[in-house]
Amino acid sequence: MEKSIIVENLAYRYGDLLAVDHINFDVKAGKILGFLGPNGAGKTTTVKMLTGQLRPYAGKATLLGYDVTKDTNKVQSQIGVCFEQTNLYEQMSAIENLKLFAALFGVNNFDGYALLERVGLAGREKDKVSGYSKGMKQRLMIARSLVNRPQIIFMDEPTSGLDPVSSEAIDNIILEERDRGATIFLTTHDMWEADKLCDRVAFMNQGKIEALDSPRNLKQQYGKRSLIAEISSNGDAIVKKEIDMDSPNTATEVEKLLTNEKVITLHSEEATLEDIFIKVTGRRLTE
Amino acid sequence: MSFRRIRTLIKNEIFYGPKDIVLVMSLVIPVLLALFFNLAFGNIFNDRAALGLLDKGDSEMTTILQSSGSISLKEYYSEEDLKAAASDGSIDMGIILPMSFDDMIQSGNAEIRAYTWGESLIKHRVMIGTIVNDAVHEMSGSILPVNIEMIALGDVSEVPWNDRLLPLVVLTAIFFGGMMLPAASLINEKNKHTLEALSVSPATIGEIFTAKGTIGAILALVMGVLTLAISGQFHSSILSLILVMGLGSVMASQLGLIAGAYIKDMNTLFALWKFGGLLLFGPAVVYMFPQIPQWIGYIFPTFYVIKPVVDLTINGLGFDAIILELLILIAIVAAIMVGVNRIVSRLSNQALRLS
Amino acid sequence: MNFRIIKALLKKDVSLFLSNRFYFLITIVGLILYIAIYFLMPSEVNEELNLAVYENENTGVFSQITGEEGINIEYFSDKEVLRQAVMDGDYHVGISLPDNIIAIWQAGEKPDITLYYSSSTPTEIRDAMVALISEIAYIQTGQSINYNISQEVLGTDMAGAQLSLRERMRPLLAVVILLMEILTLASLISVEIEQGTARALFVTPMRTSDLFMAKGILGVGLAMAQAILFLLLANGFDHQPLIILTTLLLGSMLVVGIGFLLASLSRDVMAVTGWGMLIFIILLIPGFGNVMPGLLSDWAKVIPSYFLTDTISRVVNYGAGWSDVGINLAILAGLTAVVIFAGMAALRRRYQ
Repeated sequence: MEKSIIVENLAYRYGDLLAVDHINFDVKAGKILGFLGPNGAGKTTTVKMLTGQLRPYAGKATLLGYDVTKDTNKVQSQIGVCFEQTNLYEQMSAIENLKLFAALFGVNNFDGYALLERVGLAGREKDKVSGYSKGMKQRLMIARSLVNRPQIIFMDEPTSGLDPVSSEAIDNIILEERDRGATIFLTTHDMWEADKLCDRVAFMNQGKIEALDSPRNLKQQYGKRSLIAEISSNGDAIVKKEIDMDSPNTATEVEKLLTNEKVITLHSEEATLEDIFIKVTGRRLTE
Repeated sequence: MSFRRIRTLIKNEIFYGPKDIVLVMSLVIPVLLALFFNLAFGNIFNDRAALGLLDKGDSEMTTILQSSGSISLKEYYSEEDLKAAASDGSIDMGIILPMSFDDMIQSGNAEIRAYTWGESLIKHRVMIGTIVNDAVHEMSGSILPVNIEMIALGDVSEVPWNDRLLPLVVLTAIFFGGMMLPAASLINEKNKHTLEALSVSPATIGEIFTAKGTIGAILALVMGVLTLAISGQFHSSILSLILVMGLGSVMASQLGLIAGAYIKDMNTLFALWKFGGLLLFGPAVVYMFPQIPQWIGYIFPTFYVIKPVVDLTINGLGFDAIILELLILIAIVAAIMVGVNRIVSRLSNQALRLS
Repeated sequence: MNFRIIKALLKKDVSLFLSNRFYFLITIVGLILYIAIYFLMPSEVNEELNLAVYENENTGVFSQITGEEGINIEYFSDKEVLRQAVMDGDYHVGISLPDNIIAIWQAGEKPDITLYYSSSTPTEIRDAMVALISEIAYIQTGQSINYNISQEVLGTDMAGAQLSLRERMRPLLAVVILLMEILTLASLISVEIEQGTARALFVTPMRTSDLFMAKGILGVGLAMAQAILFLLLANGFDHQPLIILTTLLLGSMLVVGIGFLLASLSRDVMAVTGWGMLIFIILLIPGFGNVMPGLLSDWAKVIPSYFLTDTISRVVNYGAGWSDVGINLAILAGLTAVVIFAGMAALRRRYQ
């Protein structure tokens, strides 16, 4: 499978601050890469370099075979960007916003209504964006990033601050695009979202990539699996008991538990990406 | 209402409030206007002919012409400068008095060279000619063989243009700063959501509005006094002037608070200023042009600010003459204050409307 | 430069401008206001001194100046009618000669002449009439003084064919209309930067050259359309319309460049409006030099709008041709080029 994104030794400075510190990674076509990290880790700066908004201080980024600094135009014609901060034309309607960008991309026979329906804005196409809720604006931002049926989609915190229903709707759109064959570059500090959507995740901290693998492999490598049992003790009191699932004595302990105790509930638990992030970087995702 | 909290808010506004273009304009524009109108603009409508004079021999004629009130005299010290002035219209005519001009007049063979601006009005040329002739007669010691009695017909209250522009300048000074500063401050706070943060503190909306309104009113009063001083009109009835302009400043700041409560962004505020300027400055326009029926001025609320100011300054009247307008002004200010209080109540009850 | 993209951007900008009903209304109202100001200004110049004279008999006192250019004398046989005429503003002053004025002079005595004036009589004219009466009295009593005035008229002698205030204001108003668009354009650009929509545009195939071209066309279009409409109504195209159009085009481009600079240097829309108004006032100064000749010195020529206002004034009011205003146009073109490039460079940095 071809690689849509190849990043080699990429770096960026804001004055004395090295915001992105010579990072390397690649993303195969049709896959979702999640960039996890706390605020100020360098995620958005990386996105800006990959989308041609910033010129790298060092290194190279190749998207769809084009060097982003030399062939910015070619790259930008095939990508879609959903920004972290809403930047829609509030005095225009949703359909007008989309038609503008369709015209900029040179999309012929653009059906804005179908796209708006897809993101759940059917019936509100002609309303001014200034009257939209935060969730609706975010859906429109996503719709705008899909106007040119891009091969790579950059989503910068797409579900930040949204309710669960809107978040799920957006997550579904992301998965649909992946199924279409688009490569998705997703930055987030929502571990659940990353765990759910991403084929691979990169942990970014202070400009460096501290770890890069699939969520499953990261959990296996860094995580701990446990069985958590709630047992009834002395009548009403409920006590939790934890059994390590990767120990040689696991089977014996489970048998002993089930035989000797009154087990109310029993379930397995694995490490979250946040737990792994803390373990790898020493920081919380939401710092 | 807590005066301590209001004091804190005022202090915060002074030290950390918007020190941006609105404040700069509130300070600069009234002063610029006052200077500009006093220096230049008044000339546009007057009928005074401008005579340039190059006196090569220290003639008595120069002194006589200097004391003439019918022309505007400018002295030059080189023929080049005189000719250039006549060429570009700085003067209607430039005359050159040769050396020993006074002796030549006595002997009856004097010659004056004159350069006339091509766009000079005929009547200005005639007026200059007449004045120069008159000056020559005076210089030669002729005794005027006529008594001239001047009789004014009708209501003769001619006001020079510099004075006619005074209301415009004072209204701009009071209302630009007085209105714009509180309005801009409120809009800024709404946009940055700091007003919400204040509203969930012990500070009430009323206290916040009082603080912003106070600063606007003080700035307006200071600028009003300053522009009067620049225009040379702040020398008598000082307490009365401060009273009237103080009330006008309060009116301005209250209008600013109302605008700030309803308007969402600065663009709209400036657009409203451009559009609403007509309502604010209507009385000034009426005063500038006596041909406009003066009763029209009574319709505008700002009339009751500017009429007392004009009566106290240009017309030289006392406090007694302005009592009626003062009472009406107090009533207007009170009415607007009721409006502001209503807004404060509504906002206090609907805190979500702060954004 | 991609014309498809420029067209899309223009469509968006026009839509944004029109959708802001308040701004659109202000623009229309402003234009109507300027046109109204033009038509309210006096269209004629009163060059004459109008005197009303009462005399009981034909004394011939004013015979020496009757028919003289610049003085219009009407004789009245009824003093009350004369007074009323002066009060009505039909005459600058009314002069009442006593009966037997010649006899009084011949007897070596001083006759009493009454000068009537009303509130509409400027002080200077009133005082000049006193001087006139004095002069006539000197002549009548043989006290005239001999001296010669040799006069040279500088420039075209426009006595009898003066420019009215309306005509003098015409170039100023046209330039005001152009300059106002600095604020409109700069605000539109600033809003895009503030709201972040500019960033969204820059990750599309749109290039900065496309953006500048679209903004430029919008700015020039808005400014020129309004100025042309005004000058059409104000008979500004009666002479050398091509020069006027060229000047307006250069002026509009200058406005665009200043708008770019203003948007790039201002932090937000409020700063755009505030600093824009200060720039606007400064750029207006040369225009006042047309309305009040002699008001400004040479320093006014450092203000770029001088070459714009001066050219329009000379063509529209004085019938100048290409050779007369060629240097002005060349300087204006040069200044415009500098300002536009500076504006684009500054705005490019601001966008980045």
